[in-house]
Amino acid sequence: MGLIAQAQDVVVKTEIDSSEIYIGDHTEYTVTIKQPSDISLKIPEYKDTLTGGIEIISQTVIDTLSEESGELVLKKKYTVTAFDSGYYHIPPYYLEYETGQGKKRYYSDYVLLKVKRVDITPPDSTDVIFDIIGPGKIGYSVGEILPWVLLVMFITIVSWLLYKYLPRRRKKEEVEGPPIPSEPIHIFIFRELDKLEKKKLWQNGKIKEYYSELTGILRYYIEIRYSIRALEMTSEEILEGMLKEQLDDELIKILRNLLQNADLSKFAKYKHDTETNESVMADTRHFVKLTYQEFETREAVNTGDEVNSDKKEVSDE
Amino acid sequence: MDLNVDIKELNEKIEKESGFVEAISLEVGKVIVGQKRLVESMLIGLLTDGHILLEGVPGLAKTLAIKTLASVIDAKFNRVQFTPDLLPADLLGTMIYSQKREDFLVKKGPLFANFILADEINRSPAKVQSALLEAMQERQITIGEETYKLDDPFLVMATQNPIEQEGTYPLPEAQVDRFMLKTVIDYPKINEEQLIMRQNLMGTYETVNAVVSIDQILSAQKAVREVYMDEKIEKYILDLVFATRYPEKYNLESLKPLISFGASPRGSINLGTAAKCYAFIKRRGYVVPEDVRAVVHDVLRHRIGITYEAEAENITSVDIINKIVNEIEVP
Repeated sequence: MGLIAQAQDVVVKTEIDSSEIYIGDHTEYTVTIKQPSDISLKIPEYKDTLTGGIEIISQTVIDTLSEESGELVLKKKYTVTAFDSGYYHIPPYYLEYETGQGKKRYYSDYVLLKVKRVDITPPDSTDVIFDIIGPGKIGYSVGEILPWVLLVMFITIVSWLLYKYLPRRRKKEEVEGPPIPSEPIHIFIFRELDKLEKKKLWQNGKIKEYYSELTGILRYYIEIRYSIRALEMTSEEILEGMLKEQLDDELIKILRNLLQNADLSKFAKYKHDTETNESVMADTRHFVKLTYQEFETREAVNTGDEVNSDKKEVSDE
Repeated sequence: MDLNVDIKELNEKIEKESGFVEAISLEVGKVIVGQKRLVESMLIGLLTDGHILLEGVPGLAKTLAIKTLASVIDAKFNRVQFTPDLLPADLLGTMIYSQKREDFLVKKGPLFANFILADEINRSPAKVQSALLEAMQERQITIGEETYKLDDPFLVMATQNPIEQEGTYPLPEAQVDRFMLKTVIDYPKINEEQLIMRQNLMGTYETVNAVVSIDQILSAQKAVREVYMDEKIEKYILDLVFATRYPEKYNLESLKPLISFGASPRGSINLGTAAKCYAFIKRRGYVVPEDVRAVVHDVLRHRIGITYEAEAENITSVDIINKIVNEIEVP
């Protein structure tokens, strides 16, 4: 509380909320003037500082209150701070009044303000050297975090849309083969050949159909047995594919002969003689039989089993 | 289709007529190392009256190949380098005023030859390309009021460089379709290139001899048309072409979004003709599926339009043809 400066009927009073503050803390310095309503006082204006070291952060406008006694009470508040430690004397607040015969001045008293440092040293550790205190951490505000959250959401959405709608390299489509018979392939083929023979196509002049069906059965057998797409291959391609299977020369020779005869009949309207028509059927059966046996032998070698001689005997009739 | 054709007789005839093919291959092989596909394509073009669009980087012996073929046949060869400032008259010819005769004389252009190498055809604007393509189609050229028939055989081999596309005038699909074959040639194999390098370093170039007459070629062209093509092969060709138009009907639904337009009827005709010619080159009187397979890429690759989706996935027309060929059942 500051002292009251009084002269006749004008009273100036100053007070400070807290006489001790830490460096940088705020406190309020209040000036109260009590005066008769019929006189006009000249009130000083402070802008930045009250005195050296005491800085004004903000100040209110003068608040005027009329009392029942006819006096006026003026009140002004300053929010102040200081950034150096020590004791400060805030000088008296003074008012001037022009009487017509001269000037009259009215003063408040000094106000003392103590500005303290933050005491970080424990009382019992005067000789201890402490590390420099690191910068304090301030929590993030929503305004700081929100743009990043929105950015992550945007990238996620765009990535998802790109993934969903951009054309991608197609995965290798699985090649669909013909249906596999439930019984062993060689049995199935022999049955198909029997059916073809019973149709008596070449005997009825349908030589082209006979060779087409015969090679169709043969191609199907090769496709299932060797997993070669024989149905979509030309004769030369089939032979190339079979060479890669490392078949016996005899088998390759039989197959080449079969396919060539069939091509001649299918594409060149060539009319083979009876002997050839009969021999191609026998050759096809022989080819299936031999390749079946070879396949079984290979399988047995791979699995380490003995080749069953009974199983090996397959009738081509 | 003549159902009474005697295949034995036809085979003998074709064997006799195609005897020169080996001689041509041997002579061309003296100068051109490797490039078997290029030589085969040239022979197909020559024997079917078709024209060839050739794509390959510079330096793959394109000019040398056609020049050698012209020498082997003893035919006239001209090479035209297409440039942006070339004019139709530079190709076809023009009328020149002769002060001595006090009259206009016809100055025939380089298209008046048996073999034309139109080098980098896409470097010239559309009007020049059209002039060439019209001459290819009509086999005649009109200068002033006079129309001149072009000599037989007339083979145009146009080249396109797959690189450096800036400042070029790509041929429109309708005009590309007029080329019977589009052949893509690649670099030679390492052993072939070694041989080429040796020949050039030693400077010993073999001279080629004219082993075939133009009359023989014209007669062979007739023989090619006589090569027997069975209905099964015709059906196979049609299946291949129709699969480019309606892939969904051939269990190839996945191709539908990749194809913007399929091969035209000209594609079917050319595929049949080229397959016949390939059988002739192989000295056979009838066509087998191998012949179709051998030429299908060159005949169809420029006749299938691919969509942006296919481009985005780096799928080419050749990939589409491969897929079709692998799916369509061979007769």
